[in-house]
Amino acid sequence: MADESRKHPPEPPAHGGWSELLHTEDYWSIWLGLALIVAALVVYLPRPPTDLQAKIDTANTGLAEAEASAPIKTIAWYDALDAKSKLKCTSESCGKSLTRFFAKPHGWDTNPLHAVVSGEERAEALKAAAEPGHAIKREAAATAYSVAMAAETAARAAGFADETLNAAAEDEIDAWRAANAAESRAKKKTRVAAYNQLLNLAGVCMVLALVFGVGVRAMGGSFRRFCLGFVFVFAVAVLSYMAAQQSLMKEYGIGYAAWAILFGMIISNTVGTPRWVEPAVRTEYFIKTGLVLLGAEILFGKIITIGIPGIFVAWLVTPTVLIVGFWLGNRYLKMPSKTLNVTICAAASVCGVSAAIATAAACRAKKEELTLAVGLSLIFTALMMIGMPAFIKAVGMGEILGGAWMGGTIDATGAVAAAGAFLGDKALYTSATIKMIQNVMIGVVAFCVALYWTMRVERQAGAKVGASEIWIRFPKFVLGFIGVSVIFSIIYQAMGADVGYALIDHGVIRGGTKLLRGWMFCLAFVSIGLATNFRELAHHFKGGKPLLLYAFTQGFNLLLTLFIAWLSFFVVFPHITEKI
Amino acid sequence: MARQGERPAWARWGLLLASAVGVWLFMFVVAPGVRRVPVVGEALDVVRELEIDASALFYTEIESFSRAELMIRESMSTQRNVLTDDS
Repeated sequence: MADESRKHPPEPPAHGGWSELLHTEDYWSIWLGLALIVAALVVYLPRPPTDLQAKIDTANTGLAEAEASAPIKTIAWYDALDAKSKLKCTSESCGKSLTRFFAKPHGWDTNPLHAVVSGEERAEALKAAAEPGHAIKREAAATAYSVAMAAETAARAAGFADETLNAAAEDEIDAWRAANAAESRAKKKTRVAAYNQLLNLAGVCMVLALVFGVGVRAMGGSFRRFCLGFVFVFAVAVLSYMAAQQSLMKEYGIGYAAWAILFGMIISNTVGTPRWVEPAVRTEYFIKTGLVLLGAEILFGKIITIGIPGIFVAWLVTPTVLIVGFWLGNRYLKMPSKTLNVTICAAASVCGVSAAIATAAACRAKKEELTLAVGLSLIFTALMMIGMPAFIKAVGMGEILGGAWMGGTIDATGAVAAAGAFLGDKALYTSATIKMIQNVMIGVVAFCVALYWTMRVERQAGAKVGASEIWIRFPKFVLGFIGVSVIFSIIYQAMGADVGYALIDHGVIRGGTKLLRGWMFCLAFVSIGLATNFRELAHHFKGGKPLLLYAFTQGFNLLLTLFIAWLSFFVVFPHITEKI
Repeated sequence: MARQGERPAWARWGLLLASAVGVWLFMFVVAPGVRRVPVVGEALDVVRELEIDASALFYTEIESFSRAELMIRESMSTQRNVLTDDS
């Protein structure tokens, strides 16, 4: 990453002059990110779901009435919750169109063409195949509803004073929820439609080429040469998404990041990266812009509303593990590179690939170092996603403790969802909460790492670093990343959690910035692969120190998270745990 | 940029082809084989059944996280109401 910038038009010296604002990659990543965010705000904010506030009020009244009438979560409580969860901008026509346009390729089993093209005949065949399954699930959901209603009625008749009846009602309501969710998924399969995504993909390629090309031109590069090379990089990104969408790869959690690096490396280490592609191999440019967009997804207010015990676990354990891991890597493992050290520790302690990207960019790690951290994270994630739920079940650990443990330790966010769901709903809720809080930490970690690198690691021995020196050296895109996060957190708070959920979370973010950010990270990983040599990568892995560091950091994380999760959920906040 | 100019063209394209075959073998032979291991298959069945994107990088990429967030938020809100009533 750091050495790659030398291959592109030299940036003017960073003396803080005004010209820097229009001629450096860091600032252009901020301008482009902000422009795209403003565009998403303009699209979504004036188009809220119809009668949004009235529907929120109705749902909240329903929730309040259900809470007042029973000490357990009743069917009416869940109905009101479901009504609220459906209020999304992404469910409106505009949101659907944008989401469809920027969507990644579809899932497929054996024919990769189905990732981008599927005819009417196949759609009809898939629908016909899904109908019988849907009928069975619909019947099961109806039966589960009747049973749950009967159990709730019995508990209500006893004035909710009989603990046995209450517990039975809760169990039956949980079973109805599961059957209901299964019916929804089966129903979705009966609504398959034909698609041809090739035109959309060409459109996405043109939009992104234009967006990034403008910046390249302003920084002194050739717009035409960039666009030409970009088509190739984008094509490899599409291939990576296609590989990640293969049904079995999706189950294993082998996502676009791994495929993009692999495909890029295969090309660069076999036939070689074509010279005409090189102007578009802009790892840092893509990553930094993607990170500015990611800032919109980091909403600080959310973590307050979704769980104090989770904050306790995530914000106490995560920095501790990061700092201890980094210290051990320097002191005892004698890691040859501090940037590799901190990138690996961030991946292991925060949340895998996304944390590695942010940290590597903040400390200007080399592209091979990021590749190594991502690779290690993917391997450990795959092992832990399967091993941890199996272990938790085998030892009979409770769902909440197990969920908290997995949420705090399994790196990849998707793998946490998979492992949590394997244990049950409560485990999923707990693990999801903790992982979301960890996700939110990325911004703080990136900022602290950037500051630490500027003030301590990169300074001359014995020299004092003044404020202006810090400003000159500080990676400016981090300010864009944090700034966007703070602005979105304020907007989200000002709107309130319910309106924010519909307009920001399920509008501007999920229907806009998230889709573009995914493409940008994928382009960045393709660029990393296209610029990486197997020999250089092997050099960084010399002596197996990165593996040892990852294993230690993750081992320490496992022990500390388990202890703090138990302390938090069962000693300090047991009254909150009871309500989950 | 990584370049393999020292190898003859046939060797470079042969390596590319071999890599493609390797990817295919992993996807359609190795991965399905590992899936047949009971502990792996059991976990992956849940992922398939619940349609979870196990490769998601961030919480916004997972629909079940959104439901979990709403559920936890409302549960905590209930808790706040209870605490307020108690006080």
